[in-house]
Amino acid sequence: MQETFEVLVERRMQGAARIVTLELAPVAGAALPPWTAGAHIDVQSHDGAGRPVQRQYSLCGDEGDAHWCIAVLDAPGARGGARWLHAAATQGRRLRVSAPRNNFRLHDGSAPALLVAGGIGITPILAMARALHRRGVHFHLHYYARSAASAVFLQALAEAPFAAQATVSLDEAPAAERQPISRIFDGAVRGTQLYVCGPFGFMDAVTREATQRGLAPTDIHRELFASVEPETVSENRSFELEIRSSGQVVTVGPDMTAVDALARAGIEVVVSCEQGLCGSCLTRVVDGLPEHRDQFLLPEEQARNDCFTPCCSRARTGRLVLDL
Amino acid sequence: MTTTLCYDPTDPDVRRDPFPLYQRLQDEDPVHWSEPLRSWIITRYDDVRHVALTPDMSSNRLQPFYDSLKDERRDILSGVMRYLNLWLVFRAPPEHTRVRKLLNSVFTPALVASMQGSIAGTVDHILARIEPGRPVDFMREVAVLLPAYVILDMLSVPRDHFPEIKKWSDDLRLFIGTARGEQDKYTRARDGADRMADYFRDVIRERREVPGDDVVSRMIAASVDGHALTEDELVATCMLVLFGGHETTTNLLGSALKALLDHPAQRERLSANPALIDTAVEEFLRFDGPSNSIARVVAVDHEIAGRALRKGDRVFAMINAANRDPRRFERPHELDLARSPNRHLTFGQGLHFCLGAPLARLEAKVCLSTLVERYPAMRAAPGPVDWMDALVMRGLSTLPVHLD
Repeated sequence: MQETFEVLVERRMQGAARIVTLELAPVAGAALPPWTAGAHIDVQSHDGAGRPVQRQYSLCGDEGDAHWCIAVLDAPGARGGARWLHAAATQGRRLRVSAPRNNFRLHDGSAPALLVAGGIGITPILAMARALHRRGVHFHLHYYARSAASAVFLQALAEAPFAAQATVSLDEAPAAERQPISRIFDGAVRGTQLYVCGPFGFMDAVTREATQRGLAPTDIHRELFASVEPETVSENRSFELEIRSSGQVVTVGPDMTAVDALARAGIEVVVSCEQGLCGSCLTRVVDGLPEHRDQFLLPEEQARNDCFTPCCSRARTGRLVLDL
Repeated sequence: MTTTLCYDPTDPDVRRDPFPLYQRLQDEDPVHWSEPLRSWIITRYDDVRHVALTPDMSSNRLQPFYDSLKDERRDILSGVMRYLNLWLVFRAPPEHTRVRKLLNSVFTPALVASMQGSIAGTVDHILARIEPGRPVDFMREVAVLLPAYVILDMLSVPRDHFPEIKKWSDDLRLFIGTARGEQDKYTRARDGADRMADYFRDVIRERREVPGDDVVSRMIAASVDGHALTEDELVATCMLVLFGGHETTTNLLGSALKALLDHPAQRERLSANPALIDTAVEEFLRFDGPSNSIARVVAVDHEIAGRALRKGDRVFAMINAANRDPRRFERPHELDLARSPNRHLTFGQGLHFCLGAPLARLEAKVCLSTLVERYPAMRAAPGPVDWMDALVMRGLSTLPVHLD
């Protein structure tokens, strides 16, 4: 069994302002392995310093296609892998890729689905829409993007046989033409399966709304690989912690952990591993959005944003109100 | 009609392959009362995680047992309890927090990362002594030695003391590992604890006089908020580090090699793509990991999945069952060396999350990578493959292989 193999860039198109779409074909006649909607492949690329790196890209074509299609966003401030592909993956070039893997699988059966994409997160969502359409399963697709110029696959969506089941909301459009996230779940019936892919903050907002509207955690599916994220680890910034019981406000400087800052203020939090692995310091967050850096919380628990691990996690908002 | 479900880990079929029974328990009786064990058996992922995390359970399972003893065993065990009560795994905050912070300052990720080269050297040293063409018991000739040598080197204790230390450690395990039906197990456990404690008391005295850069010297020097470890805490922690540092990693190495030999396509995959070793080790930890269960005592009456647990009840949260719970893992019974995400519970959760996790991972990566690369024709050899009779730990006692 071979772990990676070469494919040929058969076609390359500028899909949007910073996005190229690549059509990948087998080398020398062998067929590409089969895949299912939601699957991604690893593509070998190079970072800014020329070191080899792997990046994950969702397959966005149709499950039955003989060729694969991926869309590569070169975001400003990215770690590099996408930039190399933009420069090097020209027509006729060979790329080394892995076989498809699927951690974002569609459900079996006929339960209705809501497909929600933010920006480049449209890639697996589009493949899912095609698969559900073919299976005759009821779904609605919601696509949120900044502008028509930056959004890939707008034309493909408009021409798709399921165009009437797709709602596109662009930040640049007048408010009346944008669908608020709170409306996605209007009329959703029990058992509706939610699939969401996009930047972390976007997925969090959608997931939070879904939970409030009564969707079961097991019916919420998020794509978790990193390529849809802004590919930079954010620098440590200072933020504030407000202690709910006392109203006291503690500042966490860039060089200290929230546990350190609380200890200096005389507030002891129980810790054990001090690395975000064990969860001993888990603390309830009443307001504000944590930036989770732990490996303890399960994905759906991180998405709820109602607690965080102060030994290593930080804040995406200026202040977190803690239930202490 | 289905047969009545009963979890009895001494059943040889269950010992060989416990997973079908775990699955039935998850489906039919996820919070199961085992009459042979007089204990609750918890098998679903979410419930196992709850048991590890909840303050409604206590990890100090030894003291209640000890307190309940009324005969001479109580006197015999008092010497063992003196040290075990100071083992971090049985303590609670605030003492746990103080000691764990001190140990975190010694066993840092940087310290472990710096050991990759010396671990590779130890693997080479062990493998060099294996004559080609002869079948070997992988457990005895490799898996037992590597983690022991690594931890002895860290403590700066001569490797040739290992056979003696190993005997004390095995005797102590009679008490902690719940092996039943052994003659005079309490006396042996006490003697093992006494000898090991004496041994480390001497080592500590030497290091106080002539400090080195080994972890014993670092533990002596460590202090947090002006507090250092007490003498008994130092002795107990050396014992724990030694005990925890070799038994479980030995079992991980054995089960991992067996999984590789049983799954030739996955082995090919790793051999063609050595970079898979990171996810591969996580998958070995999940697939048939060395922490079969964690033991707890119910501290406060409460319910799990509709069953009423009473204060003082003994609970075994089955890590290896949770790691194959289809409610949490896709294709749970399939070995997939590229599995990601892989949120297995093998190192525990909460306060007692394994301090040695980075070291165990590194030893497994170095050892298994070397085996796959160096022995393309390695295969099972004739002879029995035996699993240990233990409830809390899981591992092989023999694994005959040809390393060719």
